[in-house]
Amino acid sequence: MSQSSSPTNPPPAARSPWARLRLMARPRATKANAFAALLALLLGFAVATQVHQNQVVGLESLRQSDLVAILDNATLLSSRLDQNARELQTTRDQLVSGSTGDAAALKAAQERLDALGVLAGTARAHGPGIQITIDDPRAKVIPTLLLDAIEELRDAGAEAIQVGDVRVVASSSFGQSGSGVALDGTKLTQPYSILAIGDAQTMSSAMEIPGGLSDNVRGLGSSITVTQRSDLTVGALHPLSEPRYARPVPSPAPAATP
Amino acid sequence: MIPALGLIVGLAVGLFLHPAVPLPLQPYLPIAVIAALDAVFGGVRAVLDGIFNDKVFVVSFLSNVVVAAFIVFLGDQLGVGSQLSTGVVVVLGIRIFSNVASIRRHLFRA
Amino acid sequence: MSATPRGRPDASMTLITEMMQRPLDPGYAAAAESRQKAGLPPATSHHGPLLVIFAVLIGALLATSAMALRTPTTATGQIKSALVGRIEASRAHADAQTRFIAGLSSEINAAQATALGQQSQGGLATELAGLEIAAGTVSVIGPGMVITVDDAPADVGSKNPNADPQKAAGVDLGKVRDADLQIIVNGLWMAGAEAISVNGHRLTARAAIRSAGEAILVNYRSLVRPYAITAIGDPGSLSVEFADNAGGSYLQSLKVNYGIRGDIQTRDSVVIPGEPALSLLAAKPVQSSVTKETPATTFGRTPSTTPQQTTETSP
Repeated sequence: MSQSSSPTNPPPAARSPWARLRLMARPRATKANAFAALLALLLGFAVATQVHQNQVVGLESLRQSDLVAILDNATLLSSRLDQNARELQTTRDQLVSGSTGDAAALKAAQERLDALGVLAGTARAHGPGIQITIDDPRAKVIPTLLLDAIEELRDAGAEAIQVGDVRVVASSSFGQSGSGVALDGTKLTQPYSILAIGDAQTMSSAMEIPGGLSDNVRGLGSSITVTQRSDLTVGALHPLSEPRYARPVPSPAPAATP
Repeated sequence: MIPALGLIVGLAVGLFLHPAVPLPLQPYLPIAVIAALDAVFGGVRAVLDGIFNDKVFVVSFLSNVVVAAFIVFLGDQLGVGSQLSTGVVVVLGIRIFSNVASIRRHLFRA
Repeated sequence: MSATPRGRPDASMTLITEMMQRPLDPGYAAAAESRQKAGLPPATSHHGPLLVIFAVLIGALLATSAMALRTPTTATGQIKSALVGRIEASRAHADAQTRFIAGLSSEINAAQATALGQQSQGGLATELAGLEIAAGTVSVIGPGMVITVDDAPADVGSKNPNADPQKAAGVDLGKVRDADLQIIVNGLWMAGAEAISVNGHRLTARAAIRSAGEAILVNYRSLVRPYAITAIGDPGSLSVEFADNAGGSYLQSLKVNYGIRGDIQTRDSVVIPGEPALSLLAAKPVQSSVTKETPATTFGRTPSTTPQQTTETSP
């Protein structure tokens, strides 16, 4: 370290702490510096590992049965993602190869339009699924019951749902309306009829699990019937939502935190 | 040399014979171990300082273990067991650190 | 203050100073002194029988305690760590696949944009972009709020006299459950939220909030506490309407009655990620827009006017 006392380089003791810090921060190729850098690297690595470990500790504190259920969900997610990835890869290869070119691009775009239309609720859909009818003459059904039913259906793979004449989309909300339930502001009249397109067997079993929708409805004193159908139509539509405050971000979606 | 060999023999005996620790004593085992380690490091430092005395070593070891276990037992009876054991661990830990630092200074001059 | 024999300013700190400055048992120094006075070397032999016996005993003590205190890897413990390992592997695979899918989607979108532009299908491209936003496949940014929900702190239950009988029933009411998150999210949608994510997972028409015992899952992914619910909406009315509606009062009752933590913060700008892996398996559109002939023909789609009521949430 320089010890000259010229006006431009005051003696070390007279330098302000900030100047000393700046002097130390300047990179120098010495063995000690390299070693210190290595230790700092290891420290950073240890901190990152510990933070990650902290996230994982959440898993280890759960019961075995919970872990099995989480694993089932994780496996299901993986298989769905794998299938999705394969389909997209085929589409991408067709587009990029240029051999089928323009017609393939148009077809892919139109198919995507169809799928998104069904998901956004702006297109009518048909397919296998179940029809649920809840007979509730004494108005015991509350909004949270139907909310739970929709979540259960989604978990069982429902792709298009309507309750009464109202299409269920991501932003659907259930509220109390007088003595009954309203979906997105529209009052639902009993008997409540729910149509859901998806794997009929999975959704039907989901409704019958202990503590599930069927149990809850019967516990209230109302009745419920679940019918599997090989082809039903979800014809109710939801107007296209055009958000006024949410603007698209050009960059790709960041990795989600667990 | 011979005490070190004795230590290894003891470790081997413990590992292979696997003596069962009686259940009432099990909560005091961690504290006893830390107290024993404190006495051992104190002894090693005394050797390096040149003032080792085997009688002092034995007495310090026994008293450390007994007093530490007693303090934890007393704490359990008074209802402040975990706090007292934390305090004992902190004190013994600081002593171990200081003794080890002194040993390091002797051995590595750093 | 009268002068004590020691007179040192830190005389009251003897405990700490003894601990830090004299960690070595003073017995050694005292014994060494007395031995030196008696003409003997200060240190005793290292090979006395007493020492060896005690070395063996110490070794046995260390080994025994190490074995007794080690966390037993019981059969259950091993099964659990195997499960955790598989869950982590599956999660890593799912994350990698999601990134892959996001990459593929953007490639496809880019290729389509060029191709559609060349075929003068700009209308189709715009419609596609609008539906991507509506369905939730793209990330969005805007003003909104973040509600951070967490279990009640561990010691709350012991102070709350009402908690004991409930705990005895085996149900810990201080833990956040999937129904809690569902109702809060429902309240946010009702208050006019345009996009919602929970711990970074976008809520779409197919995303479900479920429980697996004590763990909460969103879209088949398990969440780690605390649960951050992010919503974008009208900065002037979103938080107010949420506080007024059933979701807001439910959160308030959770906080007051069970000690569940629910911190609400409004933000000028939040980012909500999109869900790139959104697709259909069983459902097909009633009227497909896929053309069978040349691209010049218009595609058939349901008209935007619909016969039934399409009232929005606010009256």
